[in-house]
Amino acid sequence: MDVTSLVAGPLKYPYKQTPLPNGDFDWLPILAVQVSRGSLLTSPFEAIIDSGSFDCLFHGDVARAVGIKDITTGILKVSGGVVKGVQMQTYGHDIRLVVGADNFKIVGYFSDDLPIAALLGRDGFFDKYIVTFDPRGPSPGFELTRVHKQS
Amino acid sequence: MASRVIEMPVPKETENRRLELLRSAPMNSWLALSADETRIVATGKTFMEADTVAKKSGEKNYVLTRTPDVWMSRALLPVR
Repeated sequence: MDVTSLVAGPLKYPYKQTPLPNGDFDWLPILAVQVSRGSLLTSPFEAIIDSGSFDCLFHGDVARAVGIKDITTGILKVSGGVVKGVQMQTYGHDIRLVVGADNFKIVGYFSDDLPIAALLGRDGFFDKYIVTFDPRGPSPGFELTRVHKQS
Repeated sequence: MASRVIEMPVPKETENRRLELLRSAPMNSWLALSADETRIVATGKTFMEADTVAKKSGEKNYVLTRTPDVWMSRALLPVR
């Protein structure tokens, strides 16, 4: 298969601070995204870019904001973490992920047990963007470069 | 051909203010932050509750986020 990538110019976003215990904090690659389904479009919300996540995971409230009243009607997938024995049931639904002026169809996985708003993982995000984490300089951050595969 | 990187600017004063706001917010809740991340526009137990209050406030370009049950380092890494 002949695959050609069309690369658009990169956009650089600064890392954002997130609290930790004892007054400490962490810098995280956080991106404002939106989700749409049919004619419904959410307001922008923060998502953590996480190459360790297989899929794009969203809190169940995001599903309900685009009209998915019962997330358990989706495709069940059990996700695990690095902690032994910890599992989370997620439910996949067809949605569109909106990143700035860009949007594309993905299967988003939803769970009410996700403690944060969203994670952008490999299937649905890292297959759409080259992501460069850059800790250098006075404004560390990450760069996104959209790639379009053609077969 | 070299392409130019377009940086999305964030004022320095925004950084510490963001931390203060997140620490002051109720846990397990949704927040709507002002575009410059210096104010909490709305809070709610659900995404739609916080979003509705933020819309009614007339605030433009707010961003929603969610506080966890506890602030901690997390190995998120959900894998199939």
